[in-house]
Amino acid sequence: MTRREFVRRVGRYGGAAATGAMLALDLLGKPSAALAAEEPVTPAGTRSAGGKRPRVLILGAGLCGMSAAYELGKLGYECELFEARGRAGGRCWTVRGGDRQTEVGGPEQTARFADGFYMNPGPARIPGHHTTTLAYCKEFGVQLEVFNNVNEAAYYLVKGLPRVRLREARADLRGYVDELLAKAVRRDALDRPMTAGDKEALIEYLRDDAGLSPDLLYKPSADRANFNRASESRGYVYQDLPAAGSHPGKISNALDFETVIKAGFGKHLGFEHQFDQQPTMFQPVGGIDQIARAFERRVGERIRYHTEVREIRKTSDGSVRLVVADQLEGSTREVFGDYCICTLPLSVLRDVSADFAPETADAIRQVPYEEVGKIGLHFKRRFWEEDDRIFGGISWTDQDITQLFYPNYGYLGGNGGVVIGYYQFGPDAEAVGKLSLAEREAHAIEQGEKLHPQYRAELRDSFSVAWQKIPYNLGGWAVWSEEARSALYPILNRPDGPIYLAGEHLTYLGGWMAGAFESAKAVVLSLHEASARA
Amino acid sequence: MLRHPLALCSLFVLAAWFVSAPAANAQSPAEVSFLGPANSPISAAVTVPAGRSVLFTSGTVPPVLDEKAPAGSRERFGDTKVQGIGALKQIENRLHEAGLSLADVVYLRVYITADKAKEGKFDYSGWFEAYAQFFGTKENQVKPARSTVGVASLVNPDWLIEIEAVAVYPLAPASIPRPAP
Repeated sequence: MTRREFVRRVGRYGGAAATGAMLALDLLGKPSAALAAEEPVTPAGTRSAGGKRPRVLILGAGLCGMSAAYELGKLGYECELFEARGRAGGRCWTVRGGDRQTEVGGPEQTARFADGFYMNPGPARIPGHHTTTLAYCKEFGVQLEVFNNVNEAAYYLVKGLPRVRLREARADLRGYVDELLAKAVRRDALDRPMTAGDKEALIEYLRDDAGLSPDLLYKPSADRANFNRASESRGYVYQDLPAAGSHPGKISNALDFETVIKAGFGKHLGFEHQFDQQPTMFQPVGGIDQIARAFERRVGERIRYHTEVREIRKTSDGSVRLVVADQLEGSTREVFGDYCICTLPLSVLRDVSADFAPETADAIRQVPYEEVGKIGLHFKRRFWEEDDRIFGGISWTDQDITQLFYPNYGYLGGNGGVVIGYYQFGPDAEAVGKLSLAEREAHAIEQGEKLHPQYRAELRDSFSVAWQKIPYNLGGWAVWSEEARSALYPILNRPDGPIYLAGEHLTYLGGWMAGAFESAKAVVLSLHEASARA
Repeated sequence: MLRHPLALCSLFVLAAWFVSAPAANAQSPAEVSFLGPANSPISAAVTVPAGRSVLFTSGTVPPVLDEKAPAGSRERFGDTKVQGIGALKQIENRLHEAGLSLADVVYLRVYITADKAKEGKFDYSGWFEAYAQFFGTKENQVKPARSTVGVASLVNPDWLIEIEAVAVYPLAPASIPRPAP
């Protein structure tokens, strides 16, 4: 749903309160008079009838719950949010020195990052096309900086080969493949007949793409006389960079063809070409939770922290009764509302006693959650920058740690920095999540030092998160098979009486913050329309 | 899975069934399914849903076993069973080249000629034995639909068997991108 569509549809039912929403939501400019006048404005039923503001109970003060409360507040609803933790934001979470976390069945872990350093255990990057996320950042003045998702100077490490720079792997793979294809075209070895003109045009493209020599060979050469595009792509040996006088620099040697093919570099080369991972990507300055904090400043007064939801009940008059437990005081109480927006992850909701319709309850039970793990490694020195000239971005490996994220802030600073030492999914994340905190660190070091031998000497501390063991999450995000998407997803997207489920799990933007926001928009609209009809 | 469509019909619907297109009552298949009794070595029918790619082999004949054996000799091609095994292996190779296997075969049409060495009779059981080594086995549980036909002659008088296979390409596994926010 576009923001414009949201504003238009809210305006249809919104009454006077909707004007505020329209102005606030249309962040890229005030709505035109034409847009505002387009639809007749019908007052929301509940409000106009009794003069009483409809009351919405929101379970979970993550991004979905808070943005729903924020938008509903603008529409004149009275919202109360129930958050089991002592902080808001859910997975939009930044860990800094002194922060604590205890996983299910695990010991308490305290982060010992130095001042100014952090890790984002959950979402860490924002694609440029996540318009709602970026619009909220703009509306709230959350400062953004570039999240460097692609760095050609970062490393690939695959079994049996020394580490290579991304640019080297890419240049070699592309070079040899282009060479093969160019030769095949020249020798008429393709199945498809081509005109002489088309053949030459294709060869010309391949030659240009990889910097093939006139005899169609991929041969990056350090020799200035033979310097070509292939040389530029593969790049210089870092110990012999171009300089003044008699130092033209040395082009690194290409790997041989068999090595390149066997290495399977291609598996990682497409990463940043995925729609969701394309540059430019952003991160909030100072940690991803700046977004959560911004919402908290606006709806925080309505959040009941340390309050766990124990029961979700439908009442005979079609409204909602909750039993909530105050974790600090150890007491339970009842709360009543006209509607309930439940943003709890399904992995958590399935253990809450609730009056869901049988098909809803069944669907909630059936959707699995992904195991996801990250570790932040705080190093004393930014050796990846000082020694390896890697500034931000991601190194990749075929080991189960999968990748290293270099920090995209504090470049060349004196106090070291926090590297994400693994980002794991599924069975790998599950296995490492079962290890002790010390063993997880050892695992990250053992594999990571193959990319950076400096690891052991420079490590200061670590903080690891296994999302499947984080209370109130119990998983990274919902996993939708095609079957579940067609059979269960529509059920969960329908309101169950006065109860509306929401969250990243009910979108096609699973795991992303954008999913939380889009789901909130959809559910606010759906609830608002139902309220107008009531 | 095998439910007779008529069992579900009232008489009224049954009457309508005769005047309308029969296909209107049939459930369009959602997947490749093999229908028929469990104890039969072949399927009575196979359904293939719309949109699936299909491979047809030519009539595939047995390979020469012994190049030195003269034409007309038993040693050159073997008996019906040996020739059946050889032809199925040829089909298997062809399928592999296309990225398929015998488990993707949905239909076989088999032509058999009379074997002079066996009193001029059609050696159907020889063929069935060959077939049983490739289909409905522990390794390949698939049992295609099949027609076995005795014919007057094949192109080479030494050939006792020629087989056509129809195979359906498997669906590419759904690649659901994993988020990495």
